[in-house]
Amino acid sequence: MSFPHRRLALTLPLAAVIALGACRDREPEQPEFENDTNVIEEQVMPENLTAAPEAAPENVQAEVKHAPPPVIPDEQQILDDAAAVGMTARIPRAEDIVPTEDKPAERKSAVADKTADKDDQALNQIY
Amino acid sequence: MRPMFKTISAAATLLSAIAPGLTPAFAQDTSPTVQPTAAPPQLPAPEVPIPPLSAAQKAFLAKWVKGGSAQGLGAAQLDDQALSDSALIKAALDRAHALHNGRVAPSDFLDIWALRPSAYDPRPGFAKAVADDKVQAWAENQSPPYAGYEGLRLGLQNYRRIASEGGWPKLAAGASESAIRKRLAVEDKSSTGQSLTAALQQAQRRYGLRPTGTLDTATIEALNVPVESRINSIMANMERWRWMPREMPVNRVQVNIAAAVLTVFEGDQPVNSMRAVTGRPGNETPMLVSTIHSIVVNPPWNVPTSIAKKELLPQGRQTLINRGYRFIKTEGGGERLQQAPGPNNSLGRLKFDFDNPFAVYLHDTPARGKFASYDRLASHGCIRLEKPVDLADLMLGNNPDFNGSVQTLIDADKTQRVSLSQKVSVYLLYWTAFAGNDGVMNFRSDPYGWDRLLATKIEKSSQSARSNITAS
Repeated sequence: MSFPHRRLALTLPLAAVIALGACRDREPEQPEFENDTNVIEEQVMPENLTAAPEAAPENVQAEVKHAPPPVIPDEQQILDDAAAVGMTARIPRAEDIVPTEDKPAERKSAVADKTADKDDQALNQIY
Repeated sequence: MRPMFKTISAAATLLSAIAPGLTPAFAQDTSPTVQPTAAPPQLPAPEVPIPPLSAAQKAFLAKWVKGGSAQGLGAAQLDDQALSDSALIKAALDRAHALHNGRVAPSDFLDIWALRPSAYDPRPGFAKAVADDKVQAWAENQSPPYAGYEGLRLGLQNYRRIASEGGWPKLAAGASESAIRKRLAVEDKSSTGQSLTAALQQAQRRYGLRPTGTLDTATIEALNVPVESRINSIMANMERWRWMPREMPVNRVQVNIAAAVLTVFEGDQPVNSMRAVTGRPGNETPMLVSTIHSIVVNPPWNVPTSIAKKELLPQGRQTLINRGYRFIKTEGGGERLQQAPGPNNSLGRLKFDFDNPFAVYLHDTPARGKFASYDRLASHGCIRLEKPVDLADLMLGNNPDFNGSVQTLIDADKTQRVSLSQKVSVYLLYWTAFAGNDGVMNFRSDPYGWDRLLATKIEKSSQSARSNITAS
């Protein structure tokens, strides 16, 4: 193969792989080339090579077995993800706290009204 | 599927096919001169007079303005000198503004940090609080009102305590069980009652790692991040919370760019979530808030010029045509590249459009394999969705015209834009530290390096504010 053709042959697959990165994963899900044996060079065994006794490998670690992933219920996963995207539950503030000496019924309704007002405002904003 | 977004009741409108003139795709094709929308400049108002402070008010404020470190506002303290009344008022107003809108001025933001706090003048509220003798309540209301911020504030306390006690020792591969357990318990006391595998998996989930239950390389790296770096991350995330609006719509979509996860909120409650793929370092997904106004079914992909030049055109015109791309003439006599709709289109079958200067959006993808990965920062800046049909169903909710018909629209193989008569807010956020539902801190890697940059900016701004106050 002449040099320009060879260079082209090398760069085209590379460009194709890069292009697949657009809106796609970096790693293609399928191998780009099947039965592509050209890249495998034949190993030439030197003659008259006497096989050395195989040494016992040192510090061989047993294959690490990974535990199966814990089963997370869907509801828990949603809660965990909600924490990850930012817990926007509102915390009570000084202005929200009504002294316990006040009438409980009034306090409850006041909170409910405030929540309703807030929801209405939010609804007006986007829905 | 349970209908979500029940408050969406008005009919969405099916508009005409939109093949030409779609929004240019993808981030990083944005001119650097394009500025994100910032809060409109405020005309200077007459300065509201502050009533004289009582002795009790002075005592409270003197203590309050010295406590900025506990709120992650930087190490510069006002604890070494007494402040005059005017300096105390100046310090209180500065503290209030920093807690409310952030220590770092928006003018010091990166353009891609397009989530900007609204303008805020603490002076009128402070004057009223002094007059009403409610300074403490006023002070408590300055920081973000969200559980996410409060979780970080408590986390900051805890990690500062850990730092003061010497942090944690580094773990090496092959560390003993007792060493691993001891290390895990520093951050998460609940790990002590579990098997080692379960404790490691719990920690791996806190770090967003694959829960192998073994002390693998990624886990060692996460456990060996110094406590000081964790503190910086917490401070940076507290600062980002200060940029958030004080009121959020109850129905919305929130994305954590760093964790590559999306959650749908209905009635302020999370109702669904999914994995996402976000921008790879170098093609960062911007932080922003916008509203999703329409869904494009079977979208073509208008390839941004930058991607076309860099990644596609070198393949040759005919190769691209054979792969479903087409060259479209433009008014200026040039041409642009478009990938035809279909199952292999890079945007998949659904695209969720929202206005933003970065030309990013949410979309489907034909490449599903990445969703199984725990490292999902791989896009050009857009956000790929694991369950786009579910999200479209949620947004179209109870609309009788579209009930259960998103898949039908897809199957029609026709490009259509479904305009949402009720828009849905979308928040693209960057959280690398957050308290879990159990209060234990979770961390993600800082893939864009924004934590370190922001922590530096916080310290610099803190020093500058301190100098201004003490000079008065």
